[in-house]
Amino acid sequence: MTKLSDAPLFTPLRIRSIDTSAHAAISRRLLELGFIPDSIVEVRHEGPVLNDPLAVLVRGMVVALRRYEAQLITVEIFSETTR
Amino acid sequence: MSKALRHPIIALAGSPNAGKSVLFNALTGLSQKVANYPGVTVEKKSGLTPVWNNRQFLIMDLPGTYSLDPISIDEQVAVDILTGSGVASGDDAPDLVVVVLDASNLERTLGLALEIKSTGMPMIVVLNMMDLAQRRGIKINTNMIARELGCTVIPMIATKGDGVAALMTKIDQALPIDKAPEARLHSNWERATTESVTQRFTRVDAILAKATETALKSDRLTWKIDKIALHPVWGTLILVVVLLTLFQTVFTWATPFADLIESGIGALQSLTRSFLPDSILRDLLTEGILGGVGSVLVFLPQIMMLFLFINLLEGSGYMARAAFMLDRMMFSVGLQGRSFVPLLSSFACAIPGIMATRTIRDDRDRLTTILVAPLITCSARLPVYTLLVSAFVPEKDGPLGINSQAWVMFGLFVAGVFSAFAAAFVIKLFGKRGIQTPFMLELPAYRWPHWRYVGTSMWLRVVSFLQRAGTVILGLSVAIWFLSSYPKPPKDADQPAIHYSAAAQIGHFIEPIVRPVGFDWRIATGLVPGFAAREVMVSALATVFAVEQSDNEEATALSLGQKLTQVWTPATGFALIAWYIFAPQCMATIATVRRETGGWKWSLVMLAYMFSLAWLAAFVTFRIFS
Repeated sequence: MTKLSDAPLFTPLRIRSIDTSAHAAISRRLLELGFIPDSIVEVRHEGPVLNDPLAVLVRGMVVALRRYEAQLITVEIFSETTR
Repeated sequence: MSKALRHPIIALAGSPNAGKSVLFNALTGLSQKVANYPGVTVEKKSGLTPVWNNRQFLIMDLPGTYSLDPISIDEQVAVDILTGSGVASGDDAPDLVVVVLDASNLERTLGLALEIKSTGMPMIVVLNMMDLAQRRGIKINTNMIARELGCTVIPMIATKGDGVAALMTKIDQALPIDKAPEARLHSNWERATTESVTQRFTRVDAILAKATETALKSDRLTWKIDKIALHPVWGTLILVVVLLTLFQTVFTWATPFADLIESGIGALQSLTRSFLPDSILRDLLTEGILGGVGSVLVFLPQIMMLFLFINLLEGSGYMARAAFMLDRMMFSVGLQGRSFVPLLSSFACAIPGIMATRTIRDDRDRLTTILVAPLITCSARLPVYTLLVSAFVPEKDGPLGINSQAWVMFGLFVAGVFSAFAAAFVIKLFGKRGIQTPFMLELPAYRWPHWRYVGTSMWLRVVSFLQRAGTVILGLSVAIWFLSSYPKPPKDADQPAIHYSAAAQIGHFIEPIVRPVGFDWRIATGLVPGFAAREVMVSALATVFAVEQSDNEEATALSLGQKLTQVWTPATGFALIAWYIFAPQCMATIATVRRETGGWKWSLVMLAYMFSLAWLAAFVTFRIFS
């Protein structure tokens, strides 16, 4: 288990939970974009400065997120065996 | 007006980038700005359809929204209308909602349809971009989706017009003429929670499992391009090359066309001179009208090139990548990646730039972007810069085969960007540290820009520029010509005629304020009408100089730039350039800021800080070069 902000690139990740306690506006938007528990996501790109923002594949779409936004998402590395 | 007589109102809703604006144009025949960038439609727009079955429909194009739980102002506009709260009530409320979904990305967009469905509004769902879905190997059973949603579903390729007639037929059938619109309930939707959103997505997945077959081809090409375009090194290089190409294009490709316009105006002037007798009318026509408007018209090709470029970048999807690449840098100066599009639009004109800030969700980021947007080198500065740079910067070959004047122009653009960032940073220091707000930006699949929309969008710019040239600039040119021609000099005058004119008196009055920065009374004279619009400065100077030297045949033949170098030192020329980097010489921008911030306070703050910066910059430049 790790934060999406610390997850390796090009690796399928399964979302465990979204932290909705701290930043209501951010977590709501994350949910709307499809960052919901059990979804499979993948970090595709990192920005040129301080590796920020991230570009994450979620529900067939690439979405740019800042690192502090990605911190709200807890993920685990997804593989067929963890099913 | 009775309900029976009013045009039925159809609201177009959908997530950002689903193609609502394209469909809006297809339905109404109106041309509206359409681009492959999430959040381009920032205010409610409406237009009437052609007559269909003896009646017309009023189509309302709503800003894109991901859900009925608004975070930014533009989403609030959409949600207010859809839920019948706020301004949209009574006759203004829509009778039917057309929900436009990106068919290639239903797993993301179908949720909004479910949510709108739950408000009880009558709705029709449009599955747009069916061609893109097909290319991505997605097979969609529209009948199944219609059954699951319990409403009409129409497949569509809006850019080609496929499915538009079918939609009109269904709209017509859904709203019988003799039936009064149903009274709608104000729906009570609940704030999203992890559970409610998860539930909605589960429902979406269930519907899609029944209704679609996906070969799961994600957009390979986009992925391949992005591996390079978003690469920390190559991506940055590409961004720099794109911007450099933009400026080289604007300044070299446009030149032949500009020359053509210039010689055309010259020919008209000599034609007028040869056909009309020596009179006030002849002088007004040649010097006031043709000279004044002509000197601004010359910049039309450059403005067209700039907009062509911006439209191509938006239409292809690259603009969102640029925002991605620049976000971290912008964030550190108190802006964000989403500020990029407003700021880039400000290269054309600060007004659309300031309007585009409505897509910024954070109020403070938005205000900062508004305050610094006018520092970006807008196209109205081009006439002034081009005139002064070509007059005062010697033309020779520079590095990379780009000539010295192009480099200086590029430097001025960079100076605009740099000063905007510096100002944002200072504003950030003064502002209170608030909570961080969502950045989250979709990176849409690359696609070929649709030539028709690139074309129409550019054409609209041309029209609005020509309207400005034909109204504001024409009016001011004539006014300045009169001011600089009257009162006439006395019989025993030993100075050129303009010295005795009203314009010179105003100029002399302002001169003490700007004398320390190296400006003479002529510049002071031009600054007054130049407050109406920056480019008017050029026609003002053209008029002032044409009048001053009209008794000298040889001088009249000289270009304005040559005249300037005879009268001003390079220090004055450079100081004026520096002034124009900062000066808020545009009434329309000030008015827009007032409207967007809801009061005079921020307009006045902007005026004060920009004039102070302009004066300081010009002062420093003048001292350095003299």
